[in-house]
Amino acid sequence: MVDALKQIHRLLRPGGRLVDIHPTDDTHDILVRLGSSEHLAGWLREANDYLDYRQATDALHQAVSLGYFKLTRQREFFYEYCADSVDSLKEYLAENWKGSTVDDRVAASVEELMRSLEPNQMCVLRVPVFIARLKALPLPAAESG
Amino acid sequence: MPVILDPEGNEGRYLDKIAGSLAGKRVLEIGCGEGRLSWDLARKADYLVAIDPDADDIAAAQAAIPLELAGKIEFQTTSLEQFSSPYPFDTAVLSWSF
Repeated sequence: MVDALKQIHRLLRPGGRLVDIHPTDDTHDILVRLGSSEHLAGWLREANDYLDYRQATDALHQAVSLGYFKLTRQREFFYEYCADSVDSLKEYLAENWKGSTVDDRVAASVEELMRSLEPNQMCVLRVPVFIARLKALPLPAAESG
Repeated sequence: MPVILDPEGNEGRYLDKIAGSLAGKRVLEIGCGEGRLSWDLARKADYLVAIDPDADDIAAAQAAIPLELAGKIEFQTTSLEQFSSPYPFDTAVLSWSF
């Protein structure tokens, strides 16, 4: 991952910007929205236990500490996947998000919550996302010569 | 009902806040997939090069280029490691690629 950031540094003009967007390693909650209230059912499981996201953040900090980039702005936001049922969400994830799993216990919890008579209901996967802007610095002295 | 992605438009809003103006910029999007962010980036930038190693995703993106963006956007099936460009970029967007 650090090598990828070095490659991006080579592709940018001096002083150019890198904008990095990736999920954080905080839990990706699965919840049920009933009208204006929300109820946590569990969280998304991933084969690598969110390790990729942790490594992406670590690599970014490493590229900064090596002198390739300067971190100038960072924020976090939620990216939501909204479905009318847990089955729709599972179907979408099977096609688009390899290695992710909604446990049977979590799916059952969603289904139980969605038996509510509230007409305005939704199954939501809420992913915390990190976004940062970095400025490309002149090549570190050790690598520029 | 299909799954609705980011119904509140948080990603685009935060991308605007963090990236700043892309007007007049030559932008590289890494991991463009089927173009989820590409159209918005291309509208705001001077020129967008969008890359992804998945040929099917790139084909889908190319087939969906809005008419008004023809000539402002270029898709390439390639990994970041294999990609090279004779011209440097002002901004690179690394989107959900790790």
